[in-house]
Amino acid sequence: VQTIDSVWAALKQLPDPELPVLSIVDLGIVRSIEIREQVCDITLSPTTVGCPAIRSIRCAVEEAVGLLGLEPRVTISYADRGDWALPPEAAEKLRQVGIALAAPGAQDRMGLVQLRIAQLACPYCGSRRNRLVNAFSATPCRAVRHCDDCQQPFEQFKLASLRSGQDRLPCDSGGKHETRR
Amino acid sequence: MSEAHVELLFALADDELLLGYRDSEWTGIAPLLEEDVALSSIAQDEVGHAYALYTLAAQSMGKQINDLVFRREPQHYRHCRLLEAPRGNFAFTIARRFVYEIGDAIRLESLLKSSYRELSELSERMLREEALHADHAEEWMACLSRREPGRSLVKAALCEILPAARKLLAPLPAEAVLLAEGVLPQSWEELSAIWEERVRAKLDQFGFSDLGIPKATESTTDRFDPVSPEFATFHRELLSVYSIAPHRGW
Repeated sequence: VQTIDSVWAALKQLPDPELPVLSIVDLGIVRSIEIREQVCDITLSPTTVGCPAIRSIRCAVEEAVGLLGLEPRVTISYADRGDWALPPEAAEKLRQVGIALAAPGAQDRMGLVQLRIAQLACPYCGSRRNRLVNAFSATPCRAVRHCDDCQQPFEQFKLASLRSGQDRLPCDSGGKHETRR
Repeated sequence: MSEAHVELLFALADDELLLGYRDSEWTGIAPLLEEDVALSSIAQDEVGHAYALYTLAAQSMGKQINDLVFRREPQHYRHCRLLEAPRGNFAFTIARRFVYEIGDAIRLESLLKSSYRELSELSERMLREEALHADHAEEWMACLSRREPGRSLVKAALCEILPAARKLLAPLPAEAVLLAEGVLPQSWEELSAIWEERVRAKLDQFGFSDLGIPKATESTTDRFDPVSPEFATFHRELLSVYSIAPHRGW
């Protein structure tokens, strides 16, 4: 008999198609799992409304749940992803592929100003002397920055729901940004 | 779910689809590499928003999304006619995005209080993405209107755009029903007045105080008017992939 935990464990093994170092569970894409009899209800929430990967994620989820002997029933939800924050080990994996998370105090509606004043650590050298180059990047959930110390370009997540759960600075409480020099 | 719901969803979705399509016409040829990426990414967002809105419509009608989008005759699209013209020059693309994004944000903000839960949830998610789109358009407006030749190009584009833009938030025929059910928390006439105020303030800021915004004298929408030859071209292209592979996902 499959339990909800075994379904979570199976989905934790599924890599995100655009960021294979992370699983779809790490990214908060799997919102809920319920089992009734042999039917397994899974709610998925894409990181951005237009995320083109969601359809391939859905297929992978259906296959994985099917392999557990359950009948998958997937719903795509655009409900708020809440205060989802990535687990610490996810942040480390992302750093290794040159992607920074959204600032810990990232607000829900990130405009250009918020992206520009965000204090992020460069994933290559750790320096905070970096700036926004383009608010748009190769995927809808990322933006491009440039590090003025090691001269490397790097990407960052730009959505509040893709912020780090770690490294929450005292000045970031209450969802407010504070620029420090 | 009623026909009124579908009318609203089509108006919102068709606008996003058309605008996303027009933005994607810059892929590979935008004036700057960063803009190539930016407009392509924005286009992807807008088409994604259209897809999510069509999904709601498909659910309420018990239909398949592809049938809903691709098997609709051109005269049954409900986009604002502002969005029919091709991308034009860069100033035209930016000026159109600028007036559209202000109107889109206003209607999405209003929909946060909609009694239609799925639509209000989706509006919140879309607003978060639109915030960056609006900033992008506004920043370019400020930049282009600062000196020639950008200034003249933007001004010419605004003169062409503003009359059609006025119709963006013209009341829908089904509005009375939608207001009564709380699907629309505010009338679009009210939203249209807010739009005029915000656009006016920005135009003044960009030094275009001499540009007038046409009055919303007619209370009719242009979303039901006959489509232009440009739309027919768009529609043919839209169908070209579907006719080869009708069951493919987006």
